Amino acid sequence: MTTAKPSAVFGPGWVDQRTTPIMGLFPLSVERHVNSAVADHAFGVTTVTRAAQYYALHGLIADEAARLSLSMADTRTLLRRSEVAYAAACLAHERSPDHPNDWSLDPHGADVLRPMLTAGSIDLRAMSEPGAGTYAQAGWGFAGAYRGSELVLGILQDATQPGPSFDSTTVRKALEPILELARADAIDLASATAIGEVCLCRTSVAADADWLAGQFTGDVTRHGTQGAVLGQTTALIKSAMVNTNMSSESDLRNYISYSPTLLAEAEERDYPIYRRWRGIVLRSKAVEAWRELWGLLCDQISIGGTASRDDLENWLASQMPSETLRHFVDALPPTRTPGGDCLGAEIGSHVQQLRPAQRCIAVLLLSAAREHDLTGEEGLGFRGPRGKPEAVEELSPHWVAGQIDAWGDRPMSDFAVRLVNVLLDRSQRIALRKSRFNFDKGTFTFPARVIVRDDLVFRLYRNGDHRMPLRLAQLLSMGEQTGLFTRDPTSGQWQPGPRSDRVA
Amino acid sequence: MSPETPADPTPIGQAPSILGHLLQAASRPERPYREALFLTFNIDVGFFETRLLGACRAAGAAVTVVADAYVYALDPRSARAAGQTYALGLAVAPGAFHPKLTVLAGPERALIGIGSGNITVNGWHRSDEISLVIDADATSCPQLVADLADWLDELPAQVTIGSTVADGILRTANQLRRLAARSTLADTGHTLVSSTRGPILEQLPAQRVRMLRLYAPFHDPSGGALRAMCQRWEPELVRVAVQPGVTVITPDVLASVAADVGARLTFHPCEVAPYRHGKHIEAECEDGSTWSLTGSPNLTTAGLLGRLPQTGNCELGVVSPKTPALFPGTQAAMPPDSIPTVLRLSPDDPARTASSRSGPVLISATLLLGELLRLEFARALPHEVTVQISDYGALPEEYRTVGEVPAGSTTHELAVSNAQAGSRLRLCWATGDGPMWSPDLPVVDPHKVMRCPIPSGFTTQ
Repeated sequence: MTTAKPSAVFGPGWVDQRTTPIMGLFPLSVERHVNSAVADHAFGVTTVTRAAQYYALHGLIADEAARLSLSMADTRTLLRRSEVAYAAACLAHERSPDHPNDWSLDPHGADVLRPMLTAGSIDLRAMSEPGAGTYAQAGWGFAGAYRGSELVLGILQDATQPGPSFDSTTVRKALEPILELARADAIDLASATAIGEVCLCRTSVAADADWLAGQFTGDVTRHGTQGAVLGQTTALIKSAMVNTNMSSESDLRNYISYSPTLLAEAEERDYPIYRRWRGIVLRSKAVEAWRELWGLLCDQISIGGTASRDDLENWLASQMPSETLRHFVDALPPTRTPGGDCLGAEIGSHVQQLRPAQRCIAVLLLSAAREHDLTGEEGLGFRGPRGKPEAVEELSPHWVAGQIDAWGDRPMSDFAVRLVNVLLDRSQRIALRKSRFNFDKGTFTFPARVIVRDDLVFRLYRNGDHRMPLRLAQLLSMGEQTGLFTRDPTSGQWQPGPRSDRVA
Repeated sequence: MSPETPADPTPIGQAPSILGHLLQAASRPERPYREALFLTFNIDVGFFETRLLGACRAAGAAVTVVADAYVYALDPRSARAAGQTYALGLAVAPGAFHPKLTVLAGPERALIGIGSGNITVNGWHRSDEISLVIDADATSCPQLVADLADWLDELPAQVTIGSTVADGILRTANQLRRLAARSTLADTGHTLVSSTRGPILEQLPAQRVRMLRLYAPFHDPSGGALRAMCQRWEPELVRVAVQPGVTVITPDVLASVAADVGARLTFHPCEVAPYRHGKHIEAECEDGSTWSLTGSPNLTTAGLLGRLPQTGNCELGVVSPKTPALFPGTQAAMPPDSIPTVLRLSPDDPARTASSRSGPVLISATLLLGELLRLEFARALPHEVTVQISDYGALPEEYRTVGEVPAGSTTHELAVSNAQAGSRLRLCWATGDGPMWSPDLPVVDPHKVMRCPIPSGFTTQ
């Protein structure tokens, strides 16, 4: 026998491997359909587009870039300078008696720029390059958050070209002073105050307000276009304000979900998007129930702590009533009247007075009933086209209906155990799908807030809010900023605003 | 060194992950391997299929995976290729089927990993695992390669295992044997040990040990394994590394066992994260020589004292001479009463799986001639079961009944129409609490899983 080449055997040793834990978003990935449907029906806004006047500002920069034939790099510099100049003007206006005391919308970058302005001046040259200590780490400042919306609304064609919807003359009347200020080397309080009239608080009375409002009203006459979809969506919001007492987004969601007026109006005006929204909002209730149930389960483990699968199974089982799944389902309130009208089963007292975990499961089981009830446009909003995988994926209402068939005769506690394992397995499968192995560094990135090892569950990070953003709050806010909608300062009730006649 | 001196401060030995070798193998144009075999306790099929399967197939190998039948739980939405692209089957031992072995074998090369990590994200990436990797070719082939071929030949007779994956094990053994036969085997001093050959403890060097250094995530609550080790080697000093609150251990019991046999036992903490799942025994003998045991066995009776096929776990390990220090504990000892007692049952503890062993367990589903399903069970069925199939391409929740299997069956053949490899099979039976189902097991087409991509310009051997 000879001695083997040393390279033939490695170790034994502790394996040199490293994992990079990062927080994952959407740990159950139950949001896909709703997110996609919301993007299709409430386009033009996202959860990070806060201020309407920035749409105009970004269009103005592209217009200026086109006029001066600026390169991409020069356009970016101009954009950063302009965003800083605009923020400085807004911050300076905060000190004006004209600025409303209850105005809560800060310009982008305010946290960084406000102390600089207070201390003396903002060095615009320093702000024009991205990096630590500047108003925005991203190269294109805050434009990235708006870019998709601005493209889809036709305000931009690309970063250096305005789109067909942009109205240069009107916007320049409102915002041209910002371009002047953006050319300076530094901005102090005096120079910023001089153009304070461009402040966000004055958007609804600005020279471009009417144009801006028109960006969010769409055009219901252009059937089959995105403009028609947005137009009907905005009309739906106005309908809620007219037909119900609406003081919160929840009121709006409930109107969309359950109001017979909505359907009558949809019928009368031939607005199918109203029905589509009903499906979307009802589906979002199931999504929120999954997110809340997952949150409740994770809350049984402290951050950085551990629990066994058994612990979690036992906990959820202990939250369940001692009856079969079928009995529990049969006791739930009906989801519609014999005539087919949608009933508020999810928000009724029977469900709302249940313990939180039971309430979540009740809402999920009701979603299975909705799966049968909702057809046509409502069904499209609720599940999307039937042929698409999302319509029948795990944790979908279709899947829940299948679980009722399979587990109906078993105790609720058994069903709870089943759900715990489905959720844990799914969370790991989703994280694995998003994971990456870096061959060069030998590192494995696994985006998960909860990890499962053998039968132990480790909680690394806190979960996010279970409330599902539907961009309705953003549409309300854009409407308020541009005068489409208004809010009574005393009652807090939403009402059609001075420009509401622009809404179909 | 005196046993009274502090623990060796030498940095603990590290080894490269076999993943790097595997990915390199996948990039070789000649696709040098014919068989890939994975033995594991538990398996995350999703991880296997998305992270390892492609590399094995790209390296030219037909792939066989064997996991423990009693902890097996398939996430059907993760399994897209099982049964079609690779063979997945289950095995049963009196305790647990617990080896962690990776083999890629071809006529010219073999890549072998014997360690502590299961086929899961944790086993390959997240947990701290111990591994020994062999990257052999005809010019550099350790004796361990031939030893492993022998062990794989013996394995199917020592555990209850599905016949399709047993074929894969034997094919892998043949490949290793052919490589060994054409090589000049080199003695690296390593010894393969397994509970298939009697208690692992009895296969370890008999020479008296002055100091034992131990680490495992699971210890016997009764201290049975420690007692047996102390009785065999009569060490003066035993050092046990502990992840406080994580390691399953009863410190007072172990201290009492050590005191009984006259050994001085000290506990040494190590960082609680990442989880240390590696297992090892490190021995310093009276003559100053050292050896270590690494591999799958925990420091438990089932792991170290089992004797297949009668008792204990199916385990696989390697005894290495003169290995670098692996002990992960700190130099300073901590008092036993400051170490939390953790009594959670080890997932491979027979007591844990006792209840699940009373029910029907399907360990193999093979599609023969496209219309016959051969089913194999862990033991004679205690009662009649209904067989349901969820067709490949159908939703995981959609099943159709394909037949019944009578009580007492250990194997059964069912004629089925339109059955496809990769479909998921489950057993269903009635209980007082409603219907019960076994985990889904993919139907394996033994011919389909053998189809290997061979690049043009190369011929099969």
